Amino acid sequence: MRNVWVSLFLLAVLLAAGIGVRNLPFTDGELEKDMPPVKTTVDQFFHMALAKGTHDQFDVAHFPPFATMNERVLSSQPPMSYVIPATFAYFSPFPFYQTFFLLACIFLVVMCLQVFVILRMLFSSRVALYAFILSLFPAVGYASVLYIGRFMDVFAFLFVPALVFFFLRSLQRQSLLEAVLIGCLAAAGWLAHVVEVTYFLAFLGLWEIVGIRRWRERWPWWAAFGLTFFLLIFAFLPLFLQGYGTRGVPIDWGSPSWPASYQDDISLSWPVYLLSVLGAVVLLLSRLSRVQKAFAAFLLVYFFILSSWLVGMNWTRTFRIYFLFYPFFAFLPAFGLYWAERFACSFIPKGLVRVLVFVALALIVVPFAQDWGEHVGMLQDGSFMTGAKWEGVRWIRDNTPVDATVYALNGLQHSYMMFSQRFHVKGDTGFVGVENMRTICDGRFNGTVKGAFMNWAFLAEHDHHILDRGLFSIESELVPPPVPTKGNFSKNFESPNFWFNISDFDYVYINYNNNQFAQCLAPFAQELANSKDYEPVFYNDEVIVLRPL
Amino acid sequence: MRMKEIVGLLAPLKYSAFVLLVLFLASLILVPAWKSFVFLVAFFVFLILPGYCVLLCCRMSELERSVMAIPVSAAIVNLPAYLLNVLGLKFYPWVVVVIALFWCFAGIYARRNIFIMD
Repeated sequence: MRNVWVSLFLLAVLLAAGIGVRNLPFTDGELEKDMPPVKTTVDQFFHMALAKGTHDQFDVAHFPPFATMNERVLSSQPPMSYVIPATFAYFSPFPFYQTFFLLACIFLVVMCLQVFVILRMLFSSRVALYAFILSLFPAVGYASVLYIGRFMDVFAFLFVPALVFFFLRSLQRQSLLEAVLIGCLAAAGWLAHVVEVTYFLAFLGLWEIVGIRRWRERWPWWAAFGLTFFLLIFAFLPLFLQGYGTRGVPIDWGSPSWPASYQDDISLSWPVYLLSVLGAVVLLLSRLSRVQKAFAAFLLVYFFILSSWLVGMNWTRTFRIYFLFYPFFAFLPAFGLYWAERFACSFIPKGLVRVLVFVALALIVVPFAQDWGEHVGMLQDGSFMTGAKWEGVRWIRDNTPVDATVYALNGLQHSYMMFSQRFHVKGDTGFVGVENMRTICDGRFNGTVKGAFMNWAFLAEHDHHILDRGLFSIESELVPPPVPTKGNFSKNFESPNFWFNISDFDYVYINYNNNQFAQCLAPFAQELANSKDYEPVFYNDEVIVLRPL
Repeated sequence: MRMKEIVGLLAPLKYSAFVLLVLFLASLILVPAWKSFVFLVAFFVFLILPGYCVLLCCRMSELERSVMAIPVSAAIVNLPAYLLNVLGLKFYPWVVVVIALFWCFAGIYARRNIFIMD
């Protein structure tokens, strides 16, 4: 068995690191050389850049160089996701971005390995092996899209399987050290601020209470000490001490970051569904031990909690949590495959059964391989960051006052505008704002483009400037953004956005070419440039920077 | 504590070391050897060793200890670093080194001189 797990470990780390290595080399992380990582990471580059800031300043509490949304208290962002790569990168010879990416890839597969260990402990090595294979391939696919900012899930969920592992062990034996480790892992997961982990920990606390009542003789009261103490002290005390977001108290213990996987479409092949049903049926008919029951209950209840929560928002997204927890949910198809193999072996030669198992696994992993290919193609496309865009960012950094405010039209521009080192705000054309943009593109507005829409921009709900997402609330309490504005804020009742006049900014940065909305932005940029209200101060083939008069 | 006993406690880490060594060899064609080597040594020292040493105090298999050492290391090294930072101490490299070494020695010492917590 030793050789088996060593081989698995080897395979896993090689796969993970291979993906990271595929993206080498990054730059040295210097401002002038940061274009390649920006080009590579595409969306949500924000988090990687903030982690780099943490690394550069040895400090996660304050973040002066990049004053985004006037937000200088970094803990409003997931601190643990920044601290881990920041501290490790001190000892890594690679540039920070490279180290960050490699760590994310390795952690992703370590998560699958942890589930392998759990299933091996609970069921058998064969079930664990199948689950590992089934989860590893989605993990590889997932890692291939890490460049568009899927880091947050990885750094948060790294701790969850270990948490479950120690929890299951605590049902069998009492150990103060393991109770303390549960607390540490819970606190670390919580500080990664991914909303599903937050819910998971709430569920875990409930489970603990039930467990203490149910298995009191095996699980002494002081086992709860570790979890409670460390959860409170390590997770909440820092937030109390240094404040949360722009407020002085931790008013929000939920997640400011949606997990990126929430936005993904699920791509599962029919064998997965078939084997999952088979696995669930066999599980229900089997005689399980107490710990096995606890694990099955964990899967079902956790799935139910998340499903209930997501159903309230969009039922079609309910099953996307598979992506969040694929190592665990790979258990069911693996269990089904294991029992199908056992059943088939009773009347089919064993060699043929193994071939069939291989075919089934191949059918399952093919879609993920296809996804991977698509993402690699996107990565190599390189259309996100170009020399012209980078020139515009550098122009703002080198030619505008330090305290200038800059409006960038959409999220991606906003992300790389960080390198301008200016206070900047994003509009949003990708989510709720897309309707406005499409309306313009379709020519359904009466009047001019500017008058109809563009003179009023909006702050989108989903990004980091919204600091007050309640733990049990889907609707966010909105904070008026600290934008110097002469206009009135009004709330769009259809979507939780604030509207403000973009002429209140010192500069407006528009990427009018090489953009998905180029057909709309080009005439808009033209209109602004020709108006008496704005003065073009910089332009090239793709970018124009305007200054309101 | 005799060196032989410490070596015995850490012996299962040879599997992790083997994995890292193969990874190092595989990466030679892509990155300079010394960079790859230092990265893997850092990964071993900061993200495997502290958790492994602490888990020496738990009765578990080598596989379980080696795998769970990674998330445990990430938590027990970075959580104190974060807390100290909130209290005013920046996490300079030496702070991280001290925390990691503390867990390494504490784990081995506890395993050798105190008890196995199980």
